[in-house]
Amino acid sequence: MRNFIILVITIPLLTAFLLPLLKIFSKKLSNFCIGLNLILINIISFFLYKSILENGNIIYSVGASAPSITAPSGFPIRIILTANALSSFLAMFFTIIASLTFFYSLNTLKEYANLDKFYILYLLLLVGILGFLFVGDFFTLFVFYEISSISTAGLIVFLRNKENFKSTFHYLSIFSIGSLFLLLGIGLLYSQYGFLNMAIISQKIQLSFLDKIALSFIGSALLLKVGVFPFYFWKIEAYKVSPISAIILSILSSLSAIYVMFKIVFYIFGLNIPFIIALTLLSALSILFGNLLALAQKNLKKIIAYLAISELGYIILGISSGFLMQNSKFEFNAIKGGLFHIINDALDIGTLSLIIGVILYIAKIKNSLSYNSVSLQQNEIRGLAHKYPLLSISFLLVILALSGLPPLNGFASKIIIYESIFHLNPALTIIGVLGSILTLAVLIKIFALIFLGAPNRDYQPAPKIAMVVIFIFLSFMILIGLFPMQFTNYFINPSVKALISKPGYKNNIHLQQDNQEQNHSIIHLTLHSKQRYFNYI
Amino acid sequence: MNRVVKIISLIMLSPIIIFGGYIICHGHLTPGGGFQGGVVIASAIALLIIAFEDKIIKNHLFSLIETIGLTFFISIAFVGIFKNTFFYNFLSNTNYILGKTIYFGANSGYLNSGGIIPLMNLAVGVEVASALSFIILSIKNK
Amino acid sequence: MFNLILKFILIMLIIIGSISLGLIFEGIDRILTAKMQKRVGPPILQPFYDIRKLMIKESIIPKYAIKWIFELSPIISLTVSILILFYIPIVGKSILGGSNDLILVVYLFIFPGLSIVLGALSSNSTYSNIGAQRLVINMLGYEFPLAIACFVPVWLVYKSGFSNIFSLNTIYTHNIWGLVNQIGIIGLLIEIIAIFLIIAGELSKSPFDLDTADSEIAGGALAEYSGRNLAMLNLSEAVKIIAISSLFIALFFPWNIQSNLIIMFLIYILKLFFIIFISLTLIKTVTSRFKISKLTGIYWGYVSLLATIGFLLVLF
Repeated sequence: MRNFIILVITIPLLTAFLLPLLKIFSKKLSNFCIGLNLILINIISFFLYKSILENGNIIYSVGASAPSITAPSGFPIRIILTANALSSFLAMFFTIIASLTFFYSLNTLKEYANLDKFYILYLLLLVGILGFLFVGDFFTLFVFYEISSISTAGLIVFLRNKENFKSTFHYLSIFSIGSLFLLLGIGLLYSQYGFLNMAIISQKIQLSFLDKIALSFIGSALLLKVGVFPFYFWKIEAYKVSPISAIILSILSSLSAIYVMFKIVFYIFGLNIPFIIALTLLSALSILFGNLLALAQKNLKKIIAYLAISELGYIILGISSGFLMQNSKFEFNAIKGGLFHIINDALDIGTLSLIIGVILYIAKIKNSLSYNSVSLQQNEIRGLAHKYPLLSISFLLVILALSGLPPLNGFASKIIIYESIFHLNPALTIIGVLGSILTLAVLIKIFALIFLGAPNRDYQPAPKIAMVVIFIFLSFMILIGLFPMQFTNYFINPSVKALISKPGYKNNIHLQQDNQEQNHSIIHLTLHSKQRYFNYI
Repeated sequence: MNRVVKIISLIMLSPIIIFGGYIICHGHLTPGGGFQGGVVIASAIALLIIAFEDKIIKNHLFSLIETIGLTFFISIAFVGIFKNTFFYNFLSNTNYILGKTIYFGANSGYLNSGGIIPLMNLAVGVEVASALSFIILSIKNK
Repeated sequence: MFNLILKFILIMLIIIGSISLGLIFEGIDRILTAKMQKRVGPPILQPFYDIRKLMIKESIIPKYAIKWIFELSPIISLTVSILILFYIPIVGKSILGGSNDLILVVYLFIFPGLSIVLGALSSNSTYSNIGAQRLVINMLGYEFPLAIACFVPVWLVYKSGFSNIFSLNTIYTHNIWGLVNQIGIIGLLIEIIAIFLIIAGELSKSPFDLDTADSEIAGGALAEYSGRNLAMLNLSEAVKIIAISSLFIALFFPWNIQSNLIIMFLIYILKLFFIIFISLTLIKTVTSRFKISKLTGIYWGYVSLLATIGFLLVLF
């Protein structure tokens, strides 16, 4: 059972490596293998989540049976992966969305060359996202940061136009600076304490001035990956030109970076109040800026990017306000709202981008419109609602969900966030309500320009598997919207308890020096007090 | 390029490849290892590519060899799951293939030791060599 | 079981009562406007006659209109307007009240506007397009001061230490005028001025009535509607008058005499008349229409400034 952590990460890795071999036999075989692997990962991550709920956190060391076995004279240097309820829940959820997006991309990308390389990079990005959720020491953090950023760069450049090259260069230059910052922060910590293990550093840390500099470096590198207010420019450039499945996976990687950032800031550096106040302000600004700038855009994929930025602002606002209100009864609710909104944000923005992908696929005539984007100003696509009623109903439901209108899932999470952040500052609630109105205005504009009116030419029929995937997403949205209490009780409450139980994490890994023999000093890492969440039979 | 360069590059091919293989195989004893040895082998293939300008090697051959190297790497790591955890060194300290037990203290280095580390070096060397040759061939072919 | 039957009867009462009350108040508003403009107005029951006439006529749908959106939007508009009334405490507790219904009500107020916008945009007519765009800008404008004005009582209830602060029942039972000091009373008075302007904006009456500017764009957002659809849209307008006035009565004017139900209801109708007279009739008669380019500036500038000053004064 405890090997499931590493299986979730390495089965797509194995498939990604096998793909060039399988492509020689037939293309259908390789697609079938990818689909099989993704379904396998879904099942494994579900069982992993179940076993964590029953048995407590899992700490897995790569290459040894327990994290404590070391060289005779040394301290433990191991690659450690840890899983708690929140990371395994996010892993389960992300694999579901990634596999559905893969089936969607089979349909809409089928006439492009080099598609096998696209899928290799897709699987590698999935490995990067899932590994990022499970990191237990800083070296693994750096490795998975690099894997995700370089795979995303390869996915952005897939279409090989001039704009793609420019955007990829922009993205790569920003992320090379980001990974250098991360390396610098990790180096500062390592040089002070001599350990790379997150649990040991969290026990030994004294918050000296160098540690705060390390926090700022690591925090800014991770915030760059998230993409909130001042760090969002790579997102605009990257989302403008990449295919839709790459956009959805990139959103998932930003969401996983949120979890890692809060884990590091909260577990290792203690609760650093100025950092979290700065996070709250930045997230409020990103809600406002994301929505206001989206009103002025003419490029459909750029609008997706700006709306994604504003939704990320809601998530970070909820979680960081919860951390600011420590020891009050609203902390649990605020963090619960933020984590719930991660799920809803991935579903809503995912469905929006899937629908826009179908629109771009429908409107494509071979030498006239590029796949990259459609400018709303020329209004080249008009009147789709006459021929595609199902697509327009889906878009209407996405409008309701993304703006946070009842009865869909956006409202369920936003109301929890609003009522909790009101106790911090009422201005934040007002900014939140304003943001949802602005999102509504942006989406109505798109809907009116593209779907309503008289049709101006003939369009291709809608791809069927893509519509099925859109309906699956919509059914998730409607179900979560209609039964939010059941959903949060089963899935979100254990995750919130996992995130805020900081002493629980420290007690789980206890460093205890044991001088038995004079030549060896054996350092034990023992597991205390497994956390039981509830009896899940 | 003229005939002299072509013949000399063919003559120099084998020492360079043997030297690269030496770096790869002794990775667990001397500085070097998979990545460095692979780069040396790739430099040999780069020599070939620059000397002979017609297309004698196709790109997908390198892609295949790279795949074989990578799958070998991951599969050996997977085998460790059956013993203990992922990437477990199931060959070391058993006196079977690569697992001579080494005692604490300075020694002159035994090639027979190390467990799965030499195998990993081999896989990484193959992979890096073919990947870098792929890159150089793509640059040349443009 | 008895509770369920009682709730069912109350729901039916509210549906019928709100529609009739809304139409009667619209009639009163028309005749008062006429008298203020030195005309003889229509009879008080004129809106009823209008609805009856519209129900008999045929609904005409334009050729390239998207039929299902066009016909669905008046139904949604009317339904959600009536749904809002279930959450607002009128003479006691609200029918469907829960713990977080203030935010729910603020969001539900978006729905009638949203459905009119979608219906107008789907009718493929230039006048409707312009009207719908103006209505979107109108909605964008008034939501900001509406949010500020709605959260003032919440903050007062929170500061006084009650729980369940977002529930309308809680705000209704704890009178906010008793929770402020003297500076706060001035703040609340300024807030009420902003509220009258917000009500006029929400109901699209002058000076904010660009979306149905009769003389400019031939009816605007409602241009292509006729017959039964137009009747339902008129009904939803009437119910919206009652809904938003009741919301602000529950938030800002919750006084009442604790006597039997009939007298409380009559006092409620008196308060309704007071608010509708000031914010609809009075403001409508003395002002003319704002230009579209200045609208957002007025909402986010002047009206929000008033609301924010009120909030800040209440804070101290």
